[in-house]
Amino acid sequence: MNLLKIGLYYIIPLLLLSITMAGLNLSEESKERFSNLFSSAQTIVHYGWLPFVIYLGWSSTSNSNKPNLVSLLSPLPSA
Amino acid sequence: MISYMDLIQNCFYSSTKWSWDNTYEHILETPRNLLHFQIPNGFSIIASNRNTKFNYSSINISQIERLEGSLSYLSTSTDLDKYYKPSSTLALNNILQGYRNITKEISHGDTIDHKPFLLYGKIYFPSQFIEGMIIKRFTPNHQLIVKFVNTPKLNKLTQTTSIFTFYLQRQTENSSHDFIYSTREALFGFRCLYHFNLDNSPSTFPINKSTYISSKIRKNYTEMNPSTLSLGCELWYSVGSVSPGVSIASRYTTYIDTMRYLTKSLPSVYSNLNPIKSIQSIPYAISCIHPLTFTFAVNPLLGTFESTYAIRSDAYFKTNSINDPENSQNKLSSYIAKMGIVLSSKYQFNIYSYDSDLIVGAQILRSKLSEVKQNDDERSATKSDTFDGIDKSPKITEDMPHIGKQNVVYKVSDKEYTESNNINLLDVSESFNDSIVGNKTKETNKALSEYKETADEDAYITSLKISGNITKQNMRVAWEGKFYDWFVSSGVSVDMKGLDSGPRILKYGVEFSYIA
Repeated sequence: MNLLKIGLYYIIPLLLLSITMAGLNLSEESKERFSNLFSSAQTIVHYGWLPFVIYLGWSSTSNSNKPNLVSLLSPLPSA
Repeated sequence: MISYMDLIQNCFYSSTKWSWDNTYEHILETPRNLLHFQIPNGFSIIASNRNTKFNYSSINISQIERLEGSLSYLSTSTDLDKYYKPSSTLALNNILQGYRNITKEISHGDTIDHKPFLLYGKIYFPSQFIEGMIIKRFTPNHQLIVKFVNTPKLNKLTQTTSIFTFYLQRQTENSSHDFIYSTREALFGFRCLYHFNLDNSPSTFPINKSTYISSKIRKNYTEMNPSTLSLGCELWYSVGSVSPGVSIASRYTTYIDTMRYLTKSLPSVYSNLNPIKSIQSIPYAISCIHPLTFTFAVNPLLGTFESTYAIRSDAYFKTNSINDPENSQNKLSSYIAKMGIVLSSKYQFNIYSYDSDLIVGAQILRSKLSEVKQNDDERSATKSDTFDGIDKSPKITEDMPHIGKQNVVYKVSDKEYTESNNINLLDVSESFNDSIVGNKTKETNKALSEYKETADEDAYITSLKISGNITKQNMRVAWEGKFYDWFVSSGVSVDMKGLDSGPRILKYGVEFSYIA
């Protein structure tokens, strides 16, 4: 649940801020900083989104019903 | 056929009492499903699984020009046990995209005790294109949807390839409002939709006078308004490209509600002391009241007008045959199947270019054949059985002021009538079980138990959609069905204009889907 708050309150606003600031008149140094910040946040969200989604569902499951890693990740029914 | 993740989203909306239809975005959903339906592209196999109580996953492998695939995960904070079913028990109706019955699923603050959320992510291979969605419910009538897409391989371009779209939605029983913002060209949008219940006159509803009817049946009565008029509009403005957009649309839809029709059309038959008698005594000619949807949409800036019409009808087909000729009891086997037919049309006209277009379409649904065995004694008993002595002869139709004889398409059976009124009958039986104990109640319960036993048999197993564009001379055909535990979807899009070689196939494909 804390990760959800982090995603909602920090990462997404950071991305939005980066997108918004990219269109403003800033110095070259500030533009580069925002560009690096934006690309970093973009990479984090891109490759961290699916693990984040899986973790949230897994953390909501009770301890007795938590599956192993293969069963958690596999969309195939036999796993 | 909707995707697995859309199915889970529908389950989420159902469990949290959020109406999927109550938004301007879906006001034209019925003609869209019937005329512009999706056709699978290439060959694809989809396997989906419920990993935990709150985790769902799906993998899609398709072969179009090259081998491609996608992997998607979804998690919710809500237990969807009540609505989730694997494909072995999931009826095809639940994933078919066709005629939509507009029902109200608005929570009134008494069903949601927390703030549910849904998270979804999907990554495509080999492009690594990713799409995600967050649905967060703040109050029973407010929710926020965040959708985003990202394409990492295009990051070297000057323009960003990440697009976020925010939807702040508000729903009430008779209206909905959407506020939208997209980072793509700083697009702002607003949608609103209002519903007006026509012929909503509870004071004339005779059931209100009865003390036997529970409040639940009144709730169902209000949730299935026979006629609803919806009006809405959307406004768009792009700050980046300084371009506005606007559209206005209306929808008129009816819902088959035989009980309301009955009580209003045949007051002489209705009895306050025994509503069951009045319900079961009208199994004839009700089928002439078909659900229909009429929409009209205008885009003033582009000058386009489009009107659509869709009507749905269900019918039973029954064949009798001697199944076991060697049996001395001469048992007969009757096979009964339910067939649904939906017809739709769409007319477009542009006031600036004077271009017009007509699209017509149809959907044919069929359930599996169900065998009904009866011996001669039972058949004779069934023939002589009447509901409390009320004659079920067709002369009832002569007394109906609102139904002309020419409008009676076919004569429905008692079984069909019982099923079409299953909600009302169940509610009435619940209220009567507490107050009345006797043969009448036993007979009613017997009929209801028979209905429950055969309810699953009436699920549709195949669907055939056909639509044709008169001007462009395009034709689309899609077949969807259930084969054992697999959902199969196939279709083809053909350009009938053709060249010298004849009609040209634009798109075709087959899709197999399994849900565990």
